[in-house]
Amino acid sequence: MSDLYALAIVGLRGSGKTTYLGCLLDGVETGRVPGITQRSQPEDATAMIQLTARLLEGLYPLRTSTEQRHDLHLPLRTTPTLGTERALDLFISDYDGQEIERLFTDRAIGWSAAWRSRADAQHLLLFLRLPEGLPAIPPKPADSPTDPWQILRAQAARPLVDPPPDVTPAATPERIFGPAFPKEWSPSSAPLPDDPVPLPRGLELIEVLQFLREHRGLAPGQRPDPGQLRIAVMISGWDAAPPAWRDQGPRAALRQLYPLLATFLYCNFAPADIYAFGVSATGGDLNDPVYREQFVINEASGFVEWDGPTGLRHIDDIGLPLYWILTGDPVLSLGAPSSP
Amino acid sequence: MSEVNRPPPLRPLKCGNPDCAIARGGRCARAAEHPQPELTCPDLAREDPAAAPPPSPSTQAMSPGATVDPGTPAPWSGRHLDPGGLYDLMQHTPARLIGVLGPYNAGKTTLLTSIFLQVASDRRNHEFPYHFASSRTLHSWRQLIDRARAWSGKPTDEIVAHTPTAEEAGFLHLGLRPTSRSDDRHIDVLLSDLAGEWITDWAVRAQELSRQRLAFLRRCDGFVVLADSAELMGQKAGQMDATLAAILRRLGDLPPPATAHQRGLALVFSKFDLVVEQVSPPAADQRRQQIAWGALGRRAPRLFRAVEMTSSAGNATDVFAVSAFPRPLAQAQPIEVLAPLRFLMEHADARPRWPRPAYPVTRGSSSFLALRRPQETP
Repeated sequence: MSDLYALAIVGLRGSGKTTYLGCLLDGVETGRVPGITQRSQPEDATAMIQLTARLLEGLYPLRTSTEQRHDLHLPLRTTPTLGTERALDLFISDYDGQEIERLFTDRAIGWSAAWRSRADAQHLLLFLRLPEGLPAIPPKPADSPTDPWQILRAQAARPLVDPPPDVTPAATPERIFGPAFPKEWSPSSAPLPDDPVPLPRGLELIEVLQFLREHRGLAPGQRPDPGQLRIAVMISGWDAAPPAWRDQGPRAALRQLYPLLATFLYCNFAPADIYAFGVSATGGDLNDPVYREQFVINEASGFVEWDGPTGLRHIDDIGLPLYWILTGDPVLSLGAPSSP
Repeated sequence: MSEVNRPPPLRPLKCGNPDCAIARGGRCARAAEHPQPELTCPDLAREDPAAAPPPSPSTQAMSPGATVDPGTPAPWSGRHLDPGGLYDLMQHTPARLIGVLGPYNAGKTTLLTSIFLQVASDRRNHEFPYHFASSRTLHSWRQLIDRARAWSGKPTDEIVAHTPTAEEAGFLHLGLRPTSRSDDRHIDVLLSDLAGEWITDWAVRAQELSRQRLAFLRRCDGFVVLADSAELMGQKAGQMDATLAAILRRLGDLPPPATAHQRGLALVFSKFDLVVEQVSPPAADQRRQQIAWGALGRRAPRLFRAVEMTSSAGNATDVFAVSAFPRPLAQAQPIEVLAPLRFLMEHADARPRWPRPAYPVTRGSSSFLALRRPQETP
């Protein structure tokens, strides 16, 4: 008897879903994803071949204008890396990015039966793309509060008035001893008057997640029981992130780049069931001929970074988010501390 | 827009667009594009022999032109809630309804857009102690944001489109969760987004149609009334003052809310960046005093008198200076946009604790009540 796991993959166009799936399947076949192996050949291997074929040549899987939908059934077995060996059948279905955007802007297509069936998936892989044009240094918190009306007047060439006195925050147990529960939400810093107003990203993903929850009978704000619905937040293209962003870790990147999505996840899911991973499925840019050569001859591979219990960690195994979904937090001690 | 005639629609009519009423004998949601919807509207389910079969477990390609299971519409449209959607939500949850009122061009929709942007950034928890938890109107929020993002920065240009008068009342939705870790509630907040012309009509003339459109005001847990600061400092100050005072007096005439909460009223001087050279915003404890607002207060005597009357009628009132978009989004933060909403939520979301019961204790009594300190006799 094998355990059945149904996974749904959610992400917008260009979020790296197809590349990750292809690299994952290739890794299962070649052993670069050591935590799981194929138990037998799936009945229909067409999808696998289509996803991995171009990667064998060092090319990104093709994303055509008519986005392909992938429904995969993988008969697998866990290896001793993940503890007790056990057989499992993994069903992976993805909500393609084009359909997500179309559903958000035009309800005419509607919430089809196929989408509803995918809403019954046990766990989710939620793909986010690092925005382009990231500053080299992440924004820093404000040191002290400022009066914005005075700032406005100063820019209109009127004399400045005395700045308001500093307000010392009250001493609270959290400020002295740190947060009681590391995974609990921590307050974010206030913006300065001249800071740009960030535009919220990922509204379409939030809408899809709301639909999934509604289909599962979850009221807004109702958290599922722990372990019932794990969401691995996959920040893809992590190899291209500026070093300062990588040093912060994917959890901080999620909070800063997708704050609306981050608060939505916090408010609607058990905090222990949400984990952010910085993922590079290929480990580098396959458009670089030098790197592509290394990738093809298996001298380069993808990697995952995450905020572990003792700090930022790194592993050259893109299956780690999948391991976490299957087995929970113990696998987060794998890998090695990420070098600065 | 395509004028190509399509295959005949299925009978009875079935439309995948949740905003469409044609299946119920009403109007097509896309009537502006398709004057003859049964011939040309792509949303109607049609007799299409080339329709794609339901998806199979194997990989398949989706072509944009294929007809895809139009059956069940999405659970909600993501657009503004109409009055039917509003009452449906309020029947299922103890939602807080906030009426956002003001004359034409006062900045109502602009303020709502700015509020959402601040809540979405989640960087002002110290000012507004709630996290974003959900929204049934995400698409509408995004449309407003997309429009605001394109604003040039010129005061004469619109930041967001004016709310049209021809449509039904619309409401934007925010689901909030308090930031306190001991408070696990999900609170639905509904914010009205109405045409200013309706509000002025209701305040000044109170015709039957106006009353029907704004019937939801009786159910409101709080009000934001916007006054255009620049207009009040301009030549139309007297007219603006009279109109705003009329709005506040009408609000004061409303029956008290059915809940135990005190209803809040936030008077917001919008676009304050345009007058900040001439008027300094007063300290928080002086905001309700007309004299504290200097030249602006002198131009709004009726308005401040109406504020006092509204307060005397049992509403909690306060006055705020706000700048929703002092400059384009990429250049500056808004100022004090969350303060009015926080004030209203303090009342709409008040959770008064029951007073501790006082039991008289007889000296020498052997019951557990004897453990309490005996009450002092007056």
